Parts: sequence; structure tokens; C-alpha cells
Amino acid sequence: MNTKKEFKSPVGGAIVDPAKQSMMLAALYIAQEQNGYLTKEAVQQVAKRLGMTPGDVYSTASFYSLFRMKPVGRYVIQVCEGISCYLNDGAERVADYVSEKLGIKLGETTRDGMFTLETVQCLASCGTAPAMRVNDQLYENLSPAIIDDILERLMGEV
Amino acid sequence: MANVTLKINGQEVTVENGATILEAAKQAGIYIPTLCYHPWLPLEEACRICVVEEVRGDWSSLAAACVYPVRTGMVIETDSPKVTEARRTIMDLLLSDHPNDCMTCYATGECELQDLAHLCAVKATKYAGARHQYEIDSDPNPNLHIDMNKCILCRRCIRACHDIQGADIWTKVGRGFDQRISTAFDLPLLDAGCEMCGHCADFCPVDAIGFRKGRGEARSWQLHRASTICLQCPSGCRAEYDSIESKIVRVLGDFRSPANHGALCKRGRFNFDFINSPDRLNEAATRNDTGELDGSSIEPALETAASALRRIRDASGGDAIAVLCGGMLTNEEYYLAQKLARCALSSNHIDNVGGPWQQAIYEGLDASLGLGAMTNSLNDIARAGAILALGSNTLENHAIAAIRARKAAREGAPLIVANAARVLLSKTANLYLPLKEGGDAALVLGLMKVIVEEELHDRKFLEEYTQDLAKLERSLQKVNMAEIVEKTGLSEDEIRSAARLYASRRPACLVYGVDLLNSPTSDTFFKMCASLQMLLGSVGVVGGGVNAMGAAGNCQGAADFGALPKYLPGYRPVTAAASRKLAGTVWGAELPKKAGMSWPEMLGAIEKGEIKALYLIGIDPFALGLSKLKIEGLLARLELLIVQDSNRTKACDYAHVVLPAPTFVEKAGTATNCERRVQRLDKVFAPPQGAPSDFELINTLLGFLNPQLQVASPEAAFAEATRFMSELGGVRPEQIPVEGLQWPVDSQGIGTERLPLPENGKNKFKFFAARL
Amino acid sequence: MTNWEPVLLANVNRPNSEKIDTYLRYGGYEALRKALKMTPDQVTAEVKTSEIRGRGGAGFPAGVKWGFMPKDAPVKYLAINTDEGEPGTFKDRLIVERDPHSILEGVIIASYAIGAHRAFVYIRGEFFLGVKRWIKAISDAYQKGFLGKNILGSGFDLDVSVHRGAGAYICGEETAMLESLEGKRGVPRTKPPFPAQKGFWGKPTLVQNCETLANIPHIILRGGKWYSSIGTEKSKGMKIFCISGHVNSPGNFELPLGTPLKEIIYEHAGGVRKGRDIKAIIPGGSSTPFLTAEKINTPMGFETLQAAGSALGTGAIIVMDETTDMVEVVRRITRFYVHESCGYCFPCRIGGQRMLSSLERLAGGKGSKQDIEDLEYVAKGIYGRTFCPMGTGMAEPVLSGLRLFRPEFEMKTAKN
Repeated sequence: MNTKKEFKSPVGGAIVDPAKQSMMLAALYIAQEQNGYLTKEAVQQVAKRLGMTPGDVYSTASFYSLFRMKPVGRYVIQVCEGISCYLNDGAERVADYVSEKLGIKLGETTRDGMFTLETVQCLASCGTAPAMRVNDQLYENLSPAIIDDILERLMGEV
Repeated sequence: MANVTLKINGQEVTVENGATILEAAKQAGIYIPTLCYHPWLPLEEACRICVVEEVRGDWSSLAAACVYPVRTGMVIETDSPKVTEARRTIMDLLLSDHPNDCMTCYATGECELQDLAHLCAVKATKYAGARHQYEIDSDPNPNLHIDMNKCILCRRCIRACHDIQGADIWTKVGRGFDQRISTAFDLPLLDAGCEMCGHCADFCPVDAIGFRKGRGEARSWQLHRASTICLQCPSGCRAEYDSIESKIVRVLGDFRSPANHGALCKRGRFNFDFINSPDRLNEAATRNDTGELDGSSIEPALETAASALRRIRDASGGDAIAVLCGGMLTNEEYYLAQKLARCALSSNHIDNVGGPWQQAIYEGLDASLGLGAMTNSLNDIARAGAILALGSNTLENHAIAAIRARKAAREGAPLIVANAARVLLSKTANLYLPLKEGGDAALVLGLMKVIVEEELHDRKFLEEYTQDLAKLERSLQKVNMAEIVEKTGLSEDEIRSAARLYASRRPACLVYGVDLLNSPTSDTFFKMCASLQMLLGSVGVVGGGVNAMGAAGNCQGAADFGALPKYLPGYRPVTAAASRKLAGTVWGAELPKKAGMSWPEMLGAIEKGEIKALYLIGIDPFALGLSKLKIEGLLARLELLIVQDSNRTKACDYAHVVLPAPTFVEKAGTATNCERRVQRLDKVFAPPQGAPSDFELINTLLGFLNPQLQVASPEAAFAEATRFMSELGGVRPEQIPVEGLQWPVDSQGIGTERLPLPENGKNKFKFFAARL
Repeated sequence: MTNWEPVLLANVNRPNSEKIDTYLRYGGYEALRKALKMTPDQVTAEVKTSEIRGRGGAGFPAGVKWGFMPKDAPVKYLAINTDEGEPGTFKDRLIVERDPHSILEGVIIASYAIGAHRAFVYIRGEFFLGVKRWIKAISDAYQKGFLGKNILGSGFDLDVSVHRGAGAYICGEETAMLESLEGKRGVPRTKPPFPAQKGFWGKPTLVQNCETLANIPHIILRGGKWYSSIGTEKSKGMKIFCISGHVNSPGNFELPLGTPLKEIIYEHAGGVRKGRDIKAIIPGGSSTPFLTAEKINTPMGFETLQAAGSALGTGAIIVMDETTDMVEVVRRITRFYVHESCGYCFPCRIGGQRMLSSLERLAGGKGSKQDIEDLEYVAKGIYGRTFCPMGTGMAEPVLSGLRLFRPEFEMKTAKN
């Protein structure tokens, strides 16, 4: 009897249903929509619905940069810091410009809870650099004037 | 399986097809360093320390030896410059994000990272730059010391937590360089649901997860390590005890016994303070005329005890004396205690704390199946197709069975937990039944009724391997479902769905743990358990069986070696003339003919004044789950109370003679766990002041009462006992291998992992009429 | 300048190019009709004849990969990799957003060829428009009977669903993508077993890049021979080259494989901005080694770029002019890989961070000679020694940067 093999036999999570587990990312997106970030309750709810341990869900969520564990502003501005944006006067220059305009540093949220500023890895807009995303909207060929426009429009929307 | 021949460092090696390079090298005696790899954990393949060079003509590549399978004609170099350099780079990198606090680190001397740095001759890093800064001792739990700055992210802790314990507390959080080991939402361990088994600390190669006790008290090389069997529950886990100056600092799992394969429970791992305790009894005492306990050396105290026992025996007869043993004695000690009671004191009132349950298990299962103990092995539970867990809070009291049940559940076995309390194991269960206290027997009957009614049973199995099915079927018809519902507190629907679920996958595995706080179950209950399993074709097969586990440490051994009121060693009924005749031959003494009293009966007899003398060996009567007041009253009534224990208990206040005894780690002998595994105990260290063992104490007492009854040594006692116990096959204790030997043992010395199926239509498993 | 008639990008500039009607108007789904009349083996054979190699970066021959799919397995899957994330690459996003049906048609044909009845689109979480376009394309295809039961009366069934990633470059690695599809952390799996043996949910799975699949309808319609007549000896067919950086007209250009780098930069992308000289070129996405201006005549093919000391990768060309700070470029690229390292294996997890630390010091003018030595030591130390190819991809820009531009690194040390 090879008892050693028994200990080595493949296992995965608690009693996990693969079909449920494959809905993890979609479920986390839905959970995130409610508060803009993943609350503890939301993660627990996902775990419960998918029949997984909260630890597994938390661990998976923490792997993906689009899932947030902390509150963010209503608009999350993600400035691409990719190589092509950098070569096209974007990246930090765009981030600095937005930062100055909004009076917040990278990773911060404006006091009114409107904007959070972040950088993001290459957005595949290299041919139309510089680029940034605001929530799910992509903006390309940025210039100070265009950024001004975008921010003013978003502020006006409130 | 076909073999594969390859060359490692120029040496030809032939191994089984499917082996890894690492396994092949091990077989050839070639050392390949590893780090994230652990032979008892699933592969992780993360550290790349075990890389070796695979040479293919004029080019070569690096492969991870822990996972890479061997191929015929493969040429492997394990120490080539390419390999050495790769290893060095990884060590360089690892040390660049490590505190390198070796001078004060608790793990120094046994740290796998330190050893590798030494092997690769890599010094602490020169790299400046980002390092992790975590709080030292970041978790407030009482047992584990967490310092994640030392963590190398080998993730053994996560694998141990998941694969061995099945608790899934540790997890990976974040990614890349910022990845870390933490819990859900970074909660403190206990808040995250940690069960405190300590496997993570046991498997941690560094001191990221370490043990809190003993920290800073010793360097690793000052520790004395010895392996013995833990007697704190009936699992009989083999464990390694690290001690300094006869003080235990930590307990580690020993992988050699299949009982636990390196796993330990919270109690086995962390409950050792009673051994180090200042409350240890360190001298004998006798009560003087003024009613005070006077310190005494051991011999005179024993002599006092002997003369008092003799006086009561002669005045009131042997029936006025009872001997009650705890759960942490060795087989030889139980044997000697019952010999003392029966021969020297003419009393069959000999029992052990788990006796009433053990006797029921024996009688029920022996009558049904011809094997009066747990039918399968603990390991088998992990291979179950479906599991029904009854009785104790399994994760607390029979943890090794529980974690294996959880493992089977993870692999798809439906797990049903029926318990009055929502015990922890129910968290993993597919179905939890809130059973009324004492409703186990009714539930088993209800399940059988549904199984038969809905024809969920295994006809072919029943025909081939069982007899008297009609008896059961007839009686089941008379069983009233309403009564079952009443007794179980469950709805008929719940019972029906439980039966369907339990019958849905084979083999079905019944796990029953005795709970000392519940009144003793009867042999009928175990006959019904056997019947249920037979109906499902799940007796005599891998992963099935009636897995009944006793109440305490070595209760199985106690029962096997005769510390039961009704049975001599080997379950020979004391009421049978043949048994007494054999005893006469072996012991040269005449035994009382009547069966003795079980300990609950003894307590009743003390109350009535029928029992006047009580000899307690390693048992605290205040821990029997009865009211303190009642026990106080009973003890006060006794004419003679002898308390022999390792620690001072409240019973000492009532004792006429107090005898200090060693703890289980301080003695040698054998013990038998619930899966019938006889294992050898070795002294971790000598008892304080070289105090005699329970064996020696009882033996000396025998000497005072009747020197002819004395036994030269534990080994001699074991040999003497085997004359009663055919199931031990005449094995000698020194022949028992480190992994133990499960009785029945055949004449070749081969044990029995699980009850076999009846062969050639003989000794078929037997059904009995259903009774509540 | 040779102007090639675009094949893959023929539709993208048409108005409403993403709509199914537009696609149908210009001959869409004709290849599917043709393929469904062929046997699955004939379809695979045609793809083999075309000699098309995967467009996701690794360049594995697609027909061969299809051939690895076991014939007798009852359940098989196709997974479509739209997790485009290699810096400099923006071709898949273009096709998905502007011509999703061209990929979908390839998906259906490929599924038919390998006998898969279920296909999963895995798309980068950031591609919000892409997600919408995929979903719309799939639902329209269902409406027209190109998906679902008994497609076009052929008896072949196929369901396709869209799954959003959530910000992890590593999920572009095929086994990591499968893990992510299964709802786990996107950590690569051990190979073997390869996805064709054990992929999604343990079943044989073909993982194919968008651009590769978009080629399939054309291969079926015009024949594998036609396809293999384009390109060089080992690099066949048309390829979308993404060009960005210091060029006048960045964008996607579809040209035959083997088109010289110089032609792409100077004729199609309008040359270097402000007429400056080229200092460095990344020819195939940021994990491919740098080339210097002297290699400008290299044809853009798998074997030719390899000979020049780099790789075709995703065909993403980044041009850097003479003013470029190469230390900063290497730092930025390294920062990307460190950010995206999954952290599973030790060399990538720690090695990346160590390289980044040295590069940050150097780029900030606070580095030392030791930093350059460390950088080289670590890069060599992780090259080819990580669990998946990402560690090697991380080391490539550092090693080639040091090889080609070492004086620039030395200039950055504190002493200077």
C-alpha cells in the first residue's frame, strides 16, 4: 500500500464545484460594482454563493489588479505608464498633470470622493498614445487640453 | 510497472517508470537539495533549488528534479557548474529578502534555508533594495509565533493547512514580490477559524511560523529529540518530542506511523504543560493518624498500600476492592493491573476509563463481524466513498479521523455529520443532522429502514458475504418511523435524504467516536452499525467499515490486555471456566468466577458501601463528567483510596496513599490505538527523580501481596499476555516495527490493516434483529 | 513601398465594421460555409498547409497544435486568447473592437476542426469596449445561426461565451489563462501536460490567439497554398505589425511576414519623428531583445529576427530615437514585468524586484557599478530558469540593454 500517494493526491480548495468556481471573476466584478471595491461582506457573499472558503476568494481577488480591497472615488483615473506612452510624452507627464489638476497624489482620492488617481500597465493604446482610462472608458491621444475637457465634463456630470 | 534506466552523475540508476529525477537520485543515494518540496506534501515546484542539468548531447537544460519524470537514457548532472550557479543565484535572491538574523533566530541550526546557504556557500546578500517589513509576532494566538519577514514563500504551510488538516486557513495574498502568506482578510488566525493543529509550524523550513513555547529557551542543538506514541487520544499518533533538561519544548509529527503520517492534533501538539507542570507529584505520601498526608519514600508507601489492601480483602473479600485505570497506561501496565486485581486482590472489579464503551464495541462488532474493534484503518477514512460521522466532536476528540474524513469529503465523498451540537466538522459536511442527544442508535435504525425500504442496499454483497438478513428485515418492518423521528429529533425527510446521500456512493464509511460525556452505548448499537455497513456492502472493503474509536488514549490496549471487568486479556470471558483454567496455568492463581463491575457500577457500589477500597491508576475521578459533589461524597466514603498519578489531582485530598507516577512520555512499553495498531513507546526522558513507572509500582505492590505474581519486565509481561491473546500471533514487543503492527497478527508476524471479506462462504458477517 | 491588399484589416476602416451585416456584406461567414462542407481533418490539413504560426508571441505552428488535439476525447474546448497585454502590442484590440466576426468565424471553424462544442473567449478586463463587441458579435452570430445547435444545417453545435480577465498580464500565458478561466489565481501550470492533453477543467483544450484565428477564414477560402506563398521560408502569411514610439504615423499595418523593418518604419509608419536617428528598436513587444539601427534591414520574420538576436514575438515594433534614455526604458519595461509577475516561482518573484531596485537607483542617478554587475548577474540568473517563460521575458530587455547600451548604464552611475 502506498500511503504516500494518498497524501499527494490532487486536491483543490474545500469541496469545490469547478463550474461554480469558474464564475469567480464574474462574481467578483458584480460584487465590486456595489461599492466600487470589494468589501469583506461582498467577498464572503461570493464565497458562500460559489461554495468556497473566504480565504480562497480573497486570495484570488488579491491576485488581480482590477479588484480593489479599499474604497475608491467615483471615477478612477488610470494613466497608462507603458513604454509607448512614455515615449510619447505621456505616462508620468499625464499623471503629473492630472495630479496637479485634482490636487491628489498617485493612489489618492479627492476629498469629495470624486476621483482616484492611479497608474496602470500598458493599455494597448500604443499607436494612439498617450492614453488613460476613466472607469471603463478609454481616452487616447491625450493632450493637456483633452484632459481638461474630460475632467471638466466628469465634474459637470455630478 | 516497467523500469527506466538513466544516468545520474555518471551512475546508472534503474527506477520505476513515472518516478521523478529526485526520487531516482534518492534511490541512488545522490543528494539533491530541495526547499519547497516536502515528501508528505503535494508538489509546489516553486523554488527551483532542486534544478538539475539534463544533458542531451552537446546542449543541456535545467529541470526541476522534484517534478521532472525520468526517461530511459536520460543523462542528469546534479552538481555541474550550471546547476551550482543556478542554485547560488536563487539562494542569493532568497537571502536578499530575508532578515538573516541567524545569530538570534530560533530556527538556527535546523533551518533549511541556513543549511542551503551553507551548502551553496552563499553569504547574506549584498543587494540593497526593497525588503518586506512585517510586524514581528504579528498574530496574538497562544501557540504559534508568526514572523513573516523570515518567510521564503515555499507555501508548505498552505499545503499542510489544506492537504493534511483540511482547514484552509493560510492562503496566498497578492502577487509578485508583494505576495505574502496570510489569512482571509488578513484576520488573526483564531478569528479566521484556525484549528491550532500546528502543522504549518511543523512544516515551515525557517522560523516564519514557529512555536511560541520554548522560544528563546534553547538553541536547536541543545534539544533532545525522541519519538514515542501520544496517548492523549485513541489515534495513537507517533510524535517527536523535543526537550531540554526533561522539559518538553515542542512536539513534532513523526511520519513513520501510518496512524498519523506526521499529522498531530491540537492536543497532541500543544497540550504538554501537564508534563512540565509544577503540579507533578514528586513524592509518595501516606495519611497519618491525624488525617494529614505525610511525605514518604515510595517503598514504604507501597507497603502501607499493600497491607491496607490485604486487610480489606481478608476482612470483606475481593469484591470490596476495585481498580480503575486511566487512559494513558501502557498495555503492560493494564495487564499487570488486572493481574493484580484478579489474582492478588481476588477482584474482577477492574476497569479503565473507556472500558464500558470498549466492551460494547468489542461485543457488538465481534458478534456481527468476528472482529471486535475498529474494522478498518484510520487511513482508510480518507478513501471513503461516503462518510457518516457520529458520536464525539470528531475534530476535537478524534482529530486524525476527522481530518481524513475531511480529505475524503474534499475528493467528493458526501459527508454527513449527525451531532447534537453543530460541531466544527459539520462545516465541511454536505449534510448536518441536528441529532437529539443520545439519538445515534435511532438514527442508524432509521437509515437502515430507509435503505431497505428504498432498496438502496447491495444485494450481491449481502448474498455473498452475510447471513441472517431476514432477521433484520423482519425486525425493521416493526420499527416505527414515528418513534425514530421522536428519538432523533429529525424529520422523516431529513432521515430519508441522509440515507439516500449515505447510500449514494460506496464504500460507505461509518466513523463513530466515543464521547466520554455520553452514557455508554450498548453492544446492540455496534451490531446495528455493522448491519448498516453490511447493507451498503461496505464492510471488509477499503474505505468502508465500522470505525469505532474509544474514549481515551490507550483504551483499546486496556481492553485487549484485560483491564475490563468481564474479560481477561484477549477478550476471554472471566465467567468461562476455560478462561479461568488458562489463567490458572499462566498465573498459578484462582480467579473469582463472577464478572466484575464496570466503573459506573463501581461508583454505585462505593455509594452503597459494597466497595471499600479503590485503587486509581492514572485517572482523575473528577474528570469523569460527574458532579464534583457526588465524587467528593464517594471518595470520602472509601476506607482506602490509593491514588497513583503523574500530577496532583483533587483526589489526592481524599487519598490514603499517594504514589507518584510518570507521564506517558516518560515510560516504555507498548500501546494499541483504535485501529488495533500495537506500537512501541520509548522514554523521551526519565521521570523526575528517577521515579518508578506505573508498571514498577504495580509490580512492587504485587511483590508485597504475592511475589509469585510479579513479572520481571514489561517485555515479560507482554510475552505472558500473548499467551491469552492469539490475535497477537506470538509477536515479541521488540519485533514490533516503528510503524506498529495491527492485530490480528498471523503466524508470519503480518498484521491486519482491515477486516477481510469472508472467504468460501465461511464466517459470514451476521445480521441481528433491529433493536433500539 | 509595396502596398499589399489587406486581408485581416480589410474591414476595420469600413463604417460600422463591427456589425454582422457589414461583415456579411463583404463575404463574411463564407469560409464557415465552405469549412462545414469539408471534413474536420481536411480543415486541419488546410491550416497545416498554410504553415501559419501562432500570432500570440511564441509562434508555434497552428496546424500542428490543432493536430495535437486528441481525436477520441469526448469533451474538448477552444479557448480564445484576447488577453493582449505585451507592451507595444495593440493589434488584437483593434480586430476585436472593429471586426470581431472575423475572429468568431475563425473560432467556429477551429472548433469544428478539433471537435470542440464549447469555446471560451478570455479577454483583458481593461478592454471594456472589446468585451461589449465580443458579446454583441456572439449574440448576433447566434441569431443568424452561426452558433448554437446545428450550425448552418451541418449538425455541428457550438456555444461561445465571454470571460473577462481582471488585470493580470500573466493570464496571457496559455495555462495561466486556463487557471483564470477556472476562477483561480492566474498562475501558470506545469507543462507537460500541455493544454491539448489536459486543459480547461482537465479536458483537451486548444488555446489560440485572436489574430491567428482571424487568419483562418482566409486560409479556408483561399487555400493553405495561397497563404504559404506569402512570406519567407519559415514565416508565412500576413501579419499585423503594431508600430509605436518615436514614429510619425504609429498604428497597425498589415504586411507579409518578412517585410524589412526599415520599410515598416520609414515607408508605412512615416519615419522617425523630427528626422532623428534611431537608437533602438524593440521588434516584437517589450520582452524581445533590443535591436540597434544597424539591424534595420532585418526582415520581420521568425527566423530572421532570431538570427538578428531578437524575436518576432507579437510583431509589436517600438522605435526609440537617438534622444531616448535607455536606462529609463529598461527600468520601465522591468517595472512592468515586476508588477505583473505572479510571484509563484522564486527567481521571477525576487529576481525581478532586485533588477528593478538596481535600475531605479541607476535611472535616478544614484546607482553604482555594483548595480550594473548585480543587474547582469540577476538577469542571467533568472534567464531560462523560471517556471514559465515570463522570467526569461523579464531578463531579455535587461540583458540586451546591457549588451547594446552598457556605456549609458555606466554614465548613470553616481560617480558620473
